[in-house]
Amino acid sequence: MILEVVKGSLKKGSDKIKSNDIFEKVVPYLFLLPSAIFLITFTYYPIFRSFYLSFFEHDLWMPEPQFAGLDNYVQLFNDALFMRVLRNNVIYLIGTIPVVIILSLFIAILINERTRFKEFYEAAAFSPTLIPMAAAAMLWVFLYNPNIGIINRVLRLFGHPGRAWINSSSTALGSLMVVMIWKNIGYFIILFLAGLQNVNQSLYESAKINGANWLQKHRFITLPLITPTLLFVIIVNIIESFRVFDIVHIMTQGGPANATNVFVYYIYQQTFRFWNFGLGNALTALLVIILFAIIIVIMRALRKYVQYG
Amino acid sequence: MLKGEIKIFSYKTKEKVGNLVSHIFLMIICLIIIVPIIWALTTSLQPSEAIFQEGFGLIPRSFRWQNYAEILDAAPFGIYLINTVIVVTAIVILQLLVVIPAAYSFSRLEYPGRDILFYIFIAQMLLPLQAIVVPNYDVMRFLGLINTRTAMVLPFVASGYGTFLIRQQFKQIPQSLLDSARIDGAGHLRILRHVMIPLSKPIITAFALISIVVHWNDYFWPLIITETPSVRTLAIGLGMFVQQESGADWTLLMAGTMFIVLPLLVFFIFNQRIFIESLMIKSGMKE
Repeated sequence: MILEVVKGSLKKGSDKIKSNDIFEKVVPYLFLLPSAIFLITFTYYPIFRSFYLSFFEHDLWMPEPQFAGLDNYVQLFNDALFMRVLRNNVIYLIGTIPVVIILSLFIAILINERTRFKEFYEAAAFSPTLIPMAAAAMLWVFLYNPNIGIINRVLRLFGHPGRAWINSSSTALGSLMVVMIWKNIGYFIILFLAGLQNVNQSLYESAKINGANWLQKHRFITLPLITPTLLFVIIVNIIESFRVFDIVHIMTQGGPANATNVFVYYIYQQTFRFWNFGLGNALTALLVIILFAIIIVIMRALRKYVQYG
Repeated sequence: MLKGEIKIFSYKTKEKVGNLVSHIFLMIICLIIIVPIIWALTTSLQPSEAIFQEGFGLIPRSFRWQNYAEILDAAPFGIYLINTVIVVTAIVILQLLVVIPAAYSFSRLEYPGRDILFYIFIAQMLLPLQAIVVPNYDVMRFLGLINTRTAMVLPFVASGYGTFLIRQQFKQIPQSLLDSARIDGAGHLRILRHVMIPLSKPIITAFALISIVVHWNDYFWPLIITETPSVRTLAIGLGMFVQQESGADWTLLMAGTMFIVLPLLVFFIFNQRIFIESLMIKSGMKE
């Protein structure tokens, strides 16, 4: 109260009330300006440009883009390869997200319940997160090597001849998924550990007194209380699954026979290998729409389960 | 009486066994996670014929440190390292310079359109650069920035994540501190410098650390935008090295791989607590 009065009288005492007032009104926007310039130039303007140019046919051999209506989109939806790419992406999404979430939550709960070696477990699980994707990919090319790779060495120990892993179209996509799970799991373990710290310990105590077993305890106490973390992890995972690229580019180049060709890799191929800018822009527009659509659907579907605070 | 004691006893044993089983399980998981890194490290330190020996080769039988000297000759990894440091430093500094004022505006000032602008700012989180690389390439061509380090910095400067994170922190600073600063005649910039930023150091550090890790690893954008080794960064440099060396001298390839892994890994080992705490803050899940 007193503060307000003091502030008011200070303001009245000033001669430059008018210019000050206008300045004060503009200031909030001025603080946003530097960020806004970058945001518009390198995020929002490019997206709108892509949407616009997706209605034009344009490649390296055409001097000017030519209006083509929905041709690019029609071409994409009649393209068997693009359908394959979408299928690969969906398989990737369905194959990694549940595994990553269940494993990382399970491991986080186990770490959280222990008192000893906690820091060691955290550090070990987290270390792959720090490895650049390019390096992780290279490392796994070596692990998957059919002759000298450690995976086939272990298999041979058990009398199994081993597999070609990333060189066979039946195992390539799965092999890449394993690498991504290995690479990302530590990050989500840490996120879940953070979420678990907010769960009140006394709830576990009373569950114990009431004779709840381990599974019941976590099903009825832990799970409902970490839903905000869970939602966050699901959304991060969805975005991740649509931006997979580095690993494909280094390990398989989309092969064998397009078995590992995913959305962003396909954009890369069409635009920077075949120089078809029209298709590249249409793909960009589609990806932005797909990302937003999936995230909105997920948020709506899960909102009623999420408990805050 | 006796019955009760047995029950307590068996309950305790059960708990002990469960604890032991959990530790064994966690140890195995951690081993599986670390083994690939250890294997790459030992491979990178051995003579090239060593990898064809029997066994798993997790413990080196002979050392050959020259592998690391040789990859520095085979590809300009030294230049890549310098470029990476330049690009990552520039990204982090510029990010902080634009994100902090925006976070201040969104958290502490009132004006029409604030909330909708905030959503527009943070919606960027849903739009990874990978998704909009095609039009961004055009923008860079228009600006004449193809094949420059600048082009590797600019698209990452505005950060929805950073704005969100630092705004959350700024909101928690008591209004009374700001009021008394105002009475002392401090303007917005002085309030930012002397009140908001000093009180938000942990979050700002956290954001900077995350940003370093993320951009140290950038691969796709440098692949598109660079054409010559002189501007390339480590991750993409390794990618190019792999493709020209596909004849595969594995020890050299692994030396190159470890060369880009080790700086961050060593940095992490010495700052483990700060890193893990930062990540927990990053998720915004820790109060």
